[in-house]
Amino acid sequence: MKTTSYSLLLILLSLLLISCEEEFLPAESVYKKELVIESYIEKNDASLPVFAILTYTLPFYSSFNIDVINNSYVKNAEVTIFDGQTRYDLPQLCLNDIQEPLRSEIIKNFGYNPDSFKTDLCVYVDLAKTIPVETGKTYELRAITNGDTLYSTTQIPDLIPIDSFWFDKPAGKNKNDTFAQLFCIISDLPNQKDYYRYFTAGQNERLIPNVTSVTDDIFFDGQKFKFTLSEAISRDEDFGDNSGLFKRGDTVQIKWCTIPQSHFDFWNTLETSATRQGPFASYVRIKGNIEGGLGIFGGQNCKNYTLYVPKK
Amino acid sequence: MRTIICIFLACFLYLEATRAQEKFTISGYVREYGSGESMIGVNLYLKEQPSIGTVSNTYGFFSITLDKGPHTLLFSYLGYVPEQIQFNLTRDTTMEINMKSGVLMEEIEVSAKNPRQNIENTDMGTIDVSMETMKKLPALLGEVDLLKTLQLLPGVSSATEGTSGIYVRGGGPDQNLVLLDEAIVYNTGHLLGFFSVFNSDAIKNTVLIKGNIPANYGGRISSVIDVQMKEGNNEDYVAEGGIGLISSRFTVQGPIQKKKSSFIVSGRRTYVLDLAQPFINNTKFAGSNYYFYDLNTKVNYQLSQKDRIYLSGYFGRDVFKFSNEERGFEVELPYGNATGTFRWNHVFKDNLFFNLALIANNYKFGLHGGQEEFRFNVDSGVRDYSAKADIDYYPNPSHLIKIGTRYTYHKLSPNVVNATNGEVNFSTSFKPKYGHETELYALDDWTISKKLKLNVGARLSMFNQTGPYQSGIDSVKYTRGEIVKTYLAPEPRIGLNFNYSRTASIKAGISVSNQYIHLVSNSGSTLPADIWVPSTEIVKPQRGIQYAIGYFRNFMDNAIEASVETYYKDLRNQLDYKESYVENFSAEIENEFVSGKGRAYGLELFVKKNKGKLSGWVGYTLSKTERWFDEIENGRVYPAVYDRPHDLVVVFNYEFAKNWQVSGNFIYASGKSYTPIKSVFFIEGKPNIEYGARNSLRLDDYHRLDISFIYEKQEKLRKPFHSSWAFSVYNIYNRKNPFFTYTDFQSDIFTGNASAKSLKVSLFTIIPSVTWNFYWNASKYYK
Repeated sequence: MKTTSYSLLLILLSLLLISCEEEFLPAESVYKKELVIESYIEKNDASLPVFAILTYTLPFYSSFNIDVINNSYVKNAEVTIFDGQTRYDLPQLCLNDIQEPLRSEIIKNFGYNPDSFKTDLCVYVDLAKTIPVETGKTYELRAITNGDTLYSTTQIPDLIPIDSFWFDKPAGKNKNDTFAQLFCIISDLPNQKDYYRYFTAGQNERLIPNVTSVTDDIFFDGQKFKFTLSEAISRDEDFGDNSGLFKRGDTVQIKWCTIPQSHFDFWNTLETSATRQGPFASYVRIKGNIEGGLGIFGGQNCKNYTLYVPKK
Repeated sequence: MRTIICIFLACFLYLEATRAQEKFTISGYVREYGSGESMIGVNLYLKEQPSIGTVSNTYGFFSITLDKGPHTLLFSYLGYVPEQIQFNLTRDTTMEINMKSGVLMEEIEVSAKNPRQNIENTDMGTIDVSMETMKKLPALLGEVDLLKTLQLLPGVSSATEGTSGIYVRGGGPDQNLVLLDEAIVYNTGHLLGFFSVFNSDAIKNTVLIKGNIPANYGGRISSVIDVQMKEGNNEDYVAEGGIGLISSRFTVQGPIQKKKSSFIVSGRRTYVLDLAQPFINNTKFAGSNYYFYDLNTKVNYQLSQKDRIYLSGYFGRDVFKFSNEERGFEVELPYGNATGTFRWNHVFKDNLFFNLALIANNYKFGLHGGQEEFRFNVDSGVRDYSAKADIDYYPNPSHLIKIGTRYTYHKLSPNVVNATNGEVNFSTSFKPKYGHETELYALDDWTISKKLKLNVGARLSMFNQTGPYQSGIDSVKYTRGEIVKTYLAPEPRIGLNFNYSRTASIKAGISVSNQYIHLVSNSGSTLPADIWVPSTEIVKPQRGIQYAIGYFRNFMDNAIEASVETYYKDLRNQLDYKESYVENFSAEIENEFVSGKGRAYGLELFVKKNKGKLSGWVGYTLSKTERWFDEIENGRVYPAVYDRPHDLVVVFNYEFAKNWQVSGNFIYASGKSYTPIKSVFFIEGKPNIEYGARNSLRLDDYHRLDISFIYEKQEKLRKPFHSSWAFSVYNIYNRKNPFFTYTDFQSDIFTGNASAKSLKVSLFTIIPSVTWNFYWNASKYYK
């Protein structure tokens, strides 16, 4: 259906040639400050520690300078994870409180370049990885700040890994030898709804999710399924002739996750909301799983793959 | 049921007995002189007693039963020379009336249609749309558009500028019964709704009913748009057409057997991107194209004085092709309607007219494409087969009784996805849904006294959902034809006219309607990809109850008609998508709906000048349209996306020189409601939008002025070939009305680069256009 929407929008191109646009400021503001939490609990040989980022929403019609962003981080909150037996505290860690070279090391662990990382990011993190992350287990998240409580639960689903990968020449007339298309096969589990999310990283780049990073198994439930996996495109990137293709000769990374439905719903609605623009589009309300606020507490069972893209 | 039949039988016998008292019937057809086209809605009344009269029906048939003796009957119709027939009625009589168009009789001032009809009949919120008026009005890109003309009437609005989707008195776009020669048209728009599917050259007559819907119409709860195609000139061959900026039209019609049978074929096609093909084919998008076309055809044959058959068809398609050779990607998006109607008219008695119609229609939407070995097809659509029988019975001038029945077999296909990837096939398991809709109706348009008229009727509708179907409630599997769910509903309709003076009347009415087929759109307007769904065990039928009252007054010897109407609509079982709905084919569409309620109320003022060099109308609507759903924002009442508290329209036509006319329309409406952005929050360092309450703010008010000039040499009108030029300017003062808004983010908060702004796009700024129209008639009359 998204393809349908894109196609329909293309029809409008000729009409848009005669259109004009200007900045729009609404007559009144309906801003309301709310708490947001972003937290993941991941089972993976190369997982990040369990962490949570607690922020306040910001007014849309304002500037997002460093001060505004830094002030949006909620500090000194009490954030805990409960695995059904033990409650674990997530201690607060603000980057500006950490000395180099540890600061740069942490930023690198999150996949960012320490030189361009300007924000005083504050996270609540289980740096020591004391929380045991197990398949099939349910986890509770609780965050308390200034009398407000956020609460959520999530599960770690079974991992359904990618069976095999191979690169081939891309479709169409794109016959140059610079790029390749990645193909994969998975064996979806029968008689259950499975949800997937993936990330990719080019050579020496950080893992990022694709603009449409999630899918369910509606079309291939229980099947051994072959599909193409596009190199992830960031939301800020324009779609070019070689978008989605991997550069030959590079060593790239794939991170493939199975996620529970609430986690899928969050990304499915968020990614649709981000691309839902245009004259006939209606808004999509992002469906989080946080009681008392916005955001996501997402369990995921992932596996990372390092692949070499053959030159020919 | 037996009781109802007995009551009708008793009424029939009583009325037959009363008419046996030295009364005779005069009946026949009203046709246009020179073409033989039957004329719908011609008013005929006794000159000596204007309150006694009737109106020709959809097929031009009339019947009036009068006392024995001498009478003078007057026939009148807008733009036509009135006909006056004197006769001494001593037996049942049939006659054919041929009315001359005023265009050909310039020395006589033509009368307005039925000068007092608007205050004398029981119709409320019913408007005949003259094709002549429509063709004079300014048109976007020169494309004369029936539905956009309807949007200029009070109580009718569009959701989005430039689109032909219409919203009547707060009803949704699926709540309009759009009929083309009695076949339901499921998709009324080309090019995402920017142009309607109705080719103006093929249309004879259009009636919009937005108020009390008479009992002979059903299946939708908001309005009726009844479009009749031309039958074809049965005397001479005629060719006409027009060449415009984006499309051209050509129509040919003529007799098959003079005065007995005729045909018409009318086509229209766009060509903007066809002309651009040489350029497109030199790019990586070679093979990409978009066009739409319509084909209207109709033949009719008069078997005898009492029998006539008609066969008409419509076929329209939009075709969009997108191809990217570089990536080997291609997609094709064909969609459109096809309808076919066979009708048999039979006059059983001079006062008993019968119509049998067999109707088929098919709306298909497809999305087909792929890349190398990956191919996908998404298909949806509606296929109906209907049989319909109607009887118009004219026992005496005080009663017009209509009874009839309609049966429709529906097959509605949701988005059925089939895809292949090499040797692997995969598809959704969603199957088409089936329904049987059966309706019975009876109504009496009863003149109780000179001052009091009553239109009373009822409709009994039944809808059976049948298998194959698997219940989403208890997983029971139903086989083909097995009844899953039955809905049965009475739909009473009543309208009253108190004609308390020669120039004024008060009308009131209540109508109840049920709707079993629904279209739920997840956008600000309807799109061809939107899916029609039937009522099922999960989706309940929509039900609408409308209460209306109005004051009607004519001025200046009926040259000016004025009315004030107010209405309240109670809407039940309204449908919308769940909050956070995302189209991803992963669920039965009916499980994604929520059911709620709605209401709409308003006041409509309408002043229309029919006569003279300056004609036109002013309409103003003050209204409110609201919806509420338990599962959307906890039942908060919110304005519908097409809620327009204020809507003012001024339409005029002025003949300012011998060969020149100027027409214009000015529109002022409250801004469209929209859901505002409440705040921004960051996930994975990227900004995301949290929305506020649904439709809680409005965009800027909407207004624009369109002007058109028509040049047509008057002295050539009587010649076999003549042509005219239409110069139009849409939005002449270049108002930048907001068409939509979108957000633009520059983001990555971790690097300190983040900003957001909202942009407003105005799609239709000033747009000039020119169209050349031509007309050729082989008639000797013109020579």
